[in-house]
Amino acid sequence: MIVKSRFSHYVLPIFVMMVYLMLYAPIIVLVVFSFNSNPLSYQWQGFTLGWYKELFKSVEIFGALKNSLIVAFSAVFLSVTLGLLYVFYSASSFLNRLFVFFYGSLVAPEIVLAVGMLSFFTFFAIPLGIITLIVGHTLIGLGYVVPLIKARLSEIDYRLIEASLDLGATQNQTFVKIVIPLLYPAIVSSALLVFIVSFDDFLISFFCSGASTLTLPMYIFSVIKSGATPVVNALSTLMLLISGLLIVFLTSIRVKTKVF
Amino acid sequence: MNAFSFKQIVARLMIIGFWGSVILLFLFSPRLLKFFRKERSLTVFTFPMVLDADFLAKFEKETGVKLHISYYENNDELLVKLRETKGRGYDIVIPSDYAVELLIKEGLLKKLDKSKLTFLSAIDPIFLNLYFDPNNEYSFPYLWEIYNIGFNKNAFKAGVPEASWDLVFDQKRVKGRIGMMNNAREAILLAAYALFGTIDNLTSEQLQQVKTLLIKQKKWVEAYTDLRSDYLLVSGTCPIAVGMSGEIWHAARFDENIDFLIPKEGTFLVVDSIALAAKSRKQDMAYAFINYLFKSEVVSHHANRYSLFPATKNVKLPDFFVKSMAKIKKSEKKMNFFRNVLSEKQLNDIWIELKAN
Amino acid sequence: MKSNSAKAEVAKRDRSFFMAVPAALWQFLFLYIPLLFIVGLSFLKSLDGSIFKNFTLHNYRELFDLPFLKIILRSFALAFFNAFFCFLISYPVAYFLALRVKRMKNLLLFFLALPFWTNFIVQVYAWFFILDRHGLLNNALLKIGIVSRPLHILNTSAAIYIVMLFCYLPFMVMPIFTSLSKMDKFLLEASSDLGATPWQTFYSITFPMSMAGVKTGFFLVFIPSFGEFVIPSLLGGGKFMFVGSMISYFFLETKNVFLGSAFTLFSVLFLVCAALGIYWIFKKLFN
Repeated sequence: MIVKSRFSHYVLPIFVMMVYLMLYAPIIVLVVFSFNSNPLSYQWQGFTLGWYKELFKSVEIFGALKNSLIVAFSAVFLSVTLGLLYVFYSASSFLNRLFVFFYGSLVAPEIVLAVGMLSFFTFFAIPLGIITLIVGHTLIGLGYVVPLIKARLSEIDYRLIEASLDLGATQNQTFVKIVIPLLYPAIVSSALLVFIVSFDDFLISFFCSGASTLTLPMYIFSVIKSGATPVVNALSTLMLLISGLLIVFLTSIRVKTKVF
Repeated sequence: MNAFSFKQIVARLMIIGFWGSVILLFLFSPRLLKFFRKERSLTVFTFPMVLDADFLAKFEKETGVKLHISYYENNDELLVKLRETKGRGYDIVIPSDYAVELLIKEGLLKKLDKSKLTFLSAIDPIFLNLYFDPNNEYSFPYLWEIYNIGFNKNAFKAGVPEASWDLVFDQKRVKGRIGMMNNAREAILLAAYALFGTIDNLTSEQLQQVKTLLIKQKKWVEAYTDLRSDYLLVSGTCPIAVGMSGEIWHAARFDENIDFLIPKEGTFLVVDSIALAAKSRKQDMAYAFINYLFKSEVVSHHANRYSLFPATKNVKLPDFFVKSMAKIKKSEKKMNFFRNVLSEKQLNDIWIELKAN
Repeated sequence: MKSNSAKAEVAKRDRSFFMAVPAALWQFLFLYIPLLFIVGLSFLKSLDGSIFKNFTLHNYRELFDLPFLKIILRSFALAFFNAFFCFLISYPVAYFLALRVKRMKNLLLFFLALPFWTNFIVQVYAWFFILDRHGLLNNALLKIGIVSRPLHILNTSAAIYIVMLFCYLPFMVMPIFTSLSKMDKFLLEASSDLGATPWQTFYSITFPMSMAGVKTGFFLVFIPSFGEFVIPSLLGGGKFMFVGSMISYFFLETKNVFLGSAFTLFSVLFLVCAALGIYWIFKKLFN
């Protein structure tokens, strides 16, 4: 029997509850204040849905949302595709040893990556915009996709792949028909992960986006600096809802895998 | 299997080259697409709280030209971004006075064809031929503001304080913390002006004094901000805030306890002008947009929305504006510009040490 | 079998290479080459003219003129203390979740991870509503009567530390939780059977066995906190410059990317040395 001290029996749960409370208090207040009719200060004045109406009418916000979505989906597509191809096809060649270099984007502080890319792009006169954003986000995405998929690949029974090759399938056929279905949960969860990271990303977007591309986090940042109205609260509330749904989706996939 | 034959190395290099070119194509694709598609769009680079993106959607509907608006936080950011791309990638920019001078010097602005502009007669002559663009070959003034001191009447029950920069730099005059602007050039030149009455020919000893003053002032600065002075005043966080008129008047219109002061020593004027970036190739659309911007109702909308003054005459303005303009014209003689008199090293020297302490 | 003939083997290798190259090329082109750029730029004073003519160590010399070291140390303090405070708060939470909770574990984990997945900037913005002079915290404290005047939190370092703490909390809780979950519970039972008090068990068994998680969590918080840009610039009232805001100042507000690159490089080197130093201290203390 594990004996618990009185401390851990009473104090600990209260402490943990307080931590959770402090973690969520700001978000709850944010959501509540999206209905506040006072635009300028942080004091409650009355209930209104006006900010949500303004949110849906705003051309700027929809432009930023569109950009964020385009970049996120492209980054997911590119990083998952390139990452998958790399992990599988590098298994038998020396490129495998380059695997450790994929940790670079996770280890280095993001601001260093951002200014590095900015200098690189401007030196070669590469036009800054959606494309450079996609490039940057794909880079970050690769840093998540490659380790995740490689880990999962090493977990699956290699004899399945060997068997497939022995039975006469080409490497490509093996890849498409056997490996991808086996890696399916890892692919989906890393895709979701890259999507969220890209959608939320601020630093790379701030430095590498040039004139015509505003992403949603950039918009919120500039509005906070210049004076935010509760429209931002309304926007944030919706973003929280969507993130929550995505997480539920992600965890339900994990649960399905465990059963499988 | 370890040794690579020559043929293999060549094959590998070719593969790397192939993918490299694919990536390169990808990177430069916007440039190529623009070549083929000739999309009807304009890129506008502006200071926030000057142009109303939602309102300008009307322009898009009327002309079918799509507007991409993005924002810079201060003129330095504008300068850096334009320098990086050498004026490419942007069409319309809205720089402030000293930025116009720098941009013209570096060849980043395009000369305007005045025959295509419809609003020339509407501009108030006081704002033409200013030091940064004599003859207005590259820019035309759009909206202007002055720096002033906003104060909360609740904090000064004894009466309206005397309008002087002392309120900002002398702690004894104000109980509580103040708001100060977050721009190196402007803050430093302001401090210099408050100390010496001029911003020209500042010696290094004088700059040392400026540095000492600013560092001393930091102790009672609540926040350095370019755009949040309205909030600082309205929420009662600061009894005094230095800011641009747009911000302070935005607060004053919202809350009758806020009012503004123009220091007796004089203050600074900021003129936001509209200009064309050097490598912009969208002439007709750009001129159409500029003409649209200068239409009376468009100017009126922006002036009203962001509490700015128009540089054009015959604009419908609410009473508050007319009264304020009268108050300003009384001290018109002592209006200065934040000219580009200090080198970057001098600015960095003071500003970085200020922020590091 | 096909793969026996040498030619097919070579063809297969070429095809593999062909498929795997793009990702590797991408990584080098957009991560390592830009980093080399930063290194290169830090030794130049201008881009007009040849590289050799512009080579200079002046940027590094200039770094010692101005109070850059102060800024770097300030960022180091922020990173270190943030990681430390995160540890103090996270460990009990992770312990509770790993060893004290049975039924609601997944639900609680889910709620812990949720803020982590919400937009960072949204989270920071939300804290304005709590920490402001008229925000929730001050209103609550005033009502209860703990303070007679609103606390001045926003636009001070305190605000920065508080928000950093709560934004980075999940990064620290997760590794510690994982580490504690993997622990063999029989050890704990054996320890208490042998007569150890709960605290003794914790001190000699639980805590040492969770060190791997603590180390991971510490560095997961320490390294990003050093270069943090968003939180200090939004919550500090523009009064404090950290490494992140300094780098941004150089690259976005001044012409001097050369000094900026030198500063960036110097900060990264400092970070690496600091991280290695802390790792070494960890080893000495807890091995």
